[in-house]
Amino acid sequence: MSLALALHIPDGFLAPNFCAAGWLLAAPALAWAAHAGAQSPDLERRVPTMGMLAAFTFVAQSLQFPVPGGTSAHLQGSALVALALGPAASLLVLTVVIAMQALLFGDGGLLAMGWNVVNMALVGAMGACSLGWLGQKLRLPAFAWAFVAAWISIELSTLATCLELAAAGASPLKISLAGMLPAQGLVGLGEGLATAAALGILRQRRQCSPLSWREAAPGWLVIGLLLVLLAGGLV
Amino acid sequence: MKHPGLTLALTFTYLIWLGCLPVGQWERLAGFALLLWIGMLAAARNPLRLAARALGVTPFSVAALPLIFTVPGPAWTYLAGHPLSQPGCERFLTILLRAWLGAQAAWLAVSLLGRPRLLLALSQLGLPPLLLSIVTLMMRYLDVLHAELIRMNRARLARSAGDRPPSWWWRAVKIGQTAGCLLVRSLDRGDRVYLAMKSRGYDGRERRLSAPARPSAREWLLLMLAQLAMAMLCRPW
Repeated sequence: MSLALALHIPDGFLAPNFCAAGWLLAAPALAWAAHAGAQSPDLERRVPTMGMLAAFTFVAQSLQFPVPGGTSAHLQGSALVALALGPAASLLVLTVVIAMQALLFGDGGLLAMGWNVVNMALVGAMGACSLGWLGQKLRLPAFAWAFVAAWISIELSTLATCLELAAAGASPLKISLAGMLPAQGLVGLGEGLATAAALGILRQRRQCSPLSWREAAPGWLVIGLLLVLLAGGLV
Repeated sequence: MKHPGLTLALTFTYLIWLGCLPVGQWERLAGFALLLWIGMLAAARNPLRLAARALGVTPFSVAALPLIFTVPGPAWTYLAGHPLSQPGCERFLTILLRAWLGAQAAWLAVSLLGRPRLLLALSQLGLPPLLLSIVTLMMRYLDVLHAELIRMNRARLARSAGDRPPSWWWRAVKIGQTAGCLLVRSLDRGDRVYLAMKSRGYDGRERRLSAPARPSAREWLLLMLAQLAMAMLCRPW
């Protein structure tokens, strides 16, 4: 079984009204990201960059890295794009990537796309930005905070997926958590190392501005909400 | 169905109706499969081939597997001493079949539209222009970056000959460095593409040579008939 597929929810798992809830969560976040993009003074310059980075994320996902224990997984790239671009732009880029994966390769459903955007773009990317910001504040070495941010962001995405499947009645929370969190934790080790190495190369070659509190705050909100839901689901 | 927007709309509505189908209604599920396969035959696509390709979604269904043990209900059969509940098995099988049919429907739409008309379909369904620009650029440069990655991988493999296999973490770091190089090259290429577009008069807006054709009455009728058939099959009321 490919561990990599485990985060793209296909159609048929979730009822249509539940899928609508996912879209309702994803839509305001996307509207905020599009608004933030439209506000930036160099929008026309950023559009080709975002298109190219969407293509990059798509292509980078074909890179396979080994997982300790024998299997392999593909690079997910959401933490990498988020730490390189910031939350707003990475939300747009990752949404496009998730949509095209669903449309072109059947990786994840069309109706369930709202939840897939929430899991990978909203939770994964924003969580990575917040953790990266924390790492920068604590003056950790760049390799260390990038590694931790990417690793934990994978676990956060997995947590969000498990919570949704449980809320939709498709999989009991405790069993899916026990099955998916350790597996994705191993995948996350490789993802973290790869993300940290990739950011290292990027920082050598290009100017990278540190993450600001404004970029990190939405992610903390998302992480807090997830933990509250987790506590509610487990009790 | 020729109109891109309506084709995608038909696919979305098929998925919605399929999702509304109650658990364990096998005849109705077969009806949905039949509708889809008739659609494939009408569009001169091989249903067997698409059905086989759509089996790729099944690994995710492992996530729903615990349902066969956890849903309360009468035991259907026993597996190594554990009872498999009948409602749980029905729910799992329904999820599996719905995911399989849903993937086939999505692939039929993509195979009918092709990449350029898929973009047109998305714009006709109201995708915001900013996202549409990103999608368009991404589609154009996907193959370019893919070729670049293949070249980089080949060069990396050629350089890393050794007499013992490297550790997993070393390989993960090297994969990351490849991704980092590709990221830097993509950003550089993005800058060059922007300058090339700017020098040709780009001002942030997408332009089309001619307005796309409007859907014909026959296509609307087909869409409505399909909705009627699916509503009759589904009958959630």
